[in-house]
Amino acid sequence: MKWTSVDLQKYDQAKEYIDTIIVPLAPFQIGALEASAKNADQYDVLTLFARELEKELMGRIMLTPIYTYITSAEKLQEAERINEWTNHFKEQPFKQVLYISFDPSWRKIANDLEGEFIWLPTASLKDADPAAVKGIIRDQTLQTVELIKSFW
Amino acid sequence: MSDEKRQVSRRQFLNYTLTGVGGFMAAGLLISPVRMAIDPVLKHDEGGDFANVGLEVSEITSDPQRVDWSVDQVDGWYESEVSRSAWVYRNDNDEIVAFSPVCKHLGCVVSWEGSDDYPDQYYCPCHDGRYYKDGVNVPGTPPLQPLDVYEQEERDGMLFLGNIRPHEEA
Repeated sequence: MKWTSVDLQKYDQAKEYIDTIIVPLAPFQIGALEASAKNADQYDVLTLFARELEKELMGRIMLTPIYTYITSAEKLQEAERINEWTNHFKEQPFKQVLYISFDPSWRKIANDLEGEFIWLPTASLKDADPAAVKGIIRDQTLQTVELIKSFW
Repeated sequence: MSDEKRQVSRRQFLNYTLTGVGGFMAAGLLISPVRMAIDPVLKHDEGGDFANVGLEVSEITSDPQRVDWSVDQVDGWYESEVSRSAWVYRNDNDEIVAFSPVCKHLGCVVSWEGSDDYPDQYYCPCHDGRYYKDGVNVPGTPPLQPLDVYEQEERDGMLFLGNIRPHEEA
């Protein structure tokens, strides 16, 4: 399910089946060109990827809007805010709160997060042709689906 | 010659012109209601487009295989590419069947032999929904309906899939 009015109606009727919420985390900045552009590309890929993941498992997961933060932000402070999100979700109740991100720096403070952090290896799609992009996203989706299944 | 020309009298000439002009006006007035009346005939079925899924019919076996393809979907002014997939196999009557992989419970994607515990069945990872090879839901699992099927046809040896319809044996 996505955070849309149509899906929220479905969620409301099937709450007991949808016990997992997925929060994509993406850094952003507008500064040095190369680094900013890289963040922007990754944001796109994360959006695409999260959408595919949701399609695959829509009957059991809810996908939230992307949580964005400034690339240089103090991660511990961000973690506090993410935990606020997490507590809000757990009230619903969602049993599993999973964060997905290309940003490996969360790994270090994964213990301070109240949900599970899943790091995804970066897939650069900038120069790939559309057919290859589909293949890459599909592969990564299926692998992540397996990983998510292990939490159930 | 000149006698014959005079056979069109002034009265007749006026009659002809008035009928002509009146006819055009009547046609002009009628054209929109008529167009509206026969509209259902002119409207083409937008969902009826078949798409080549890139699979040769001769390659279809009794083992279900997954095909992925994409179609252009026009939603008002917004045109987008939507990806579709299906599980295709040849049933016992040698007919080709293409199932939509969307679970009838809550819409997850099912896969053939998706669980090692249930060979020869479609399996939904979300809530352990299962379907037999013919797409019918296994009683006692969450789904209450069989998998939907795609309309299909063969063109030049390639498989084309169209609209999704409910399973007929339900």
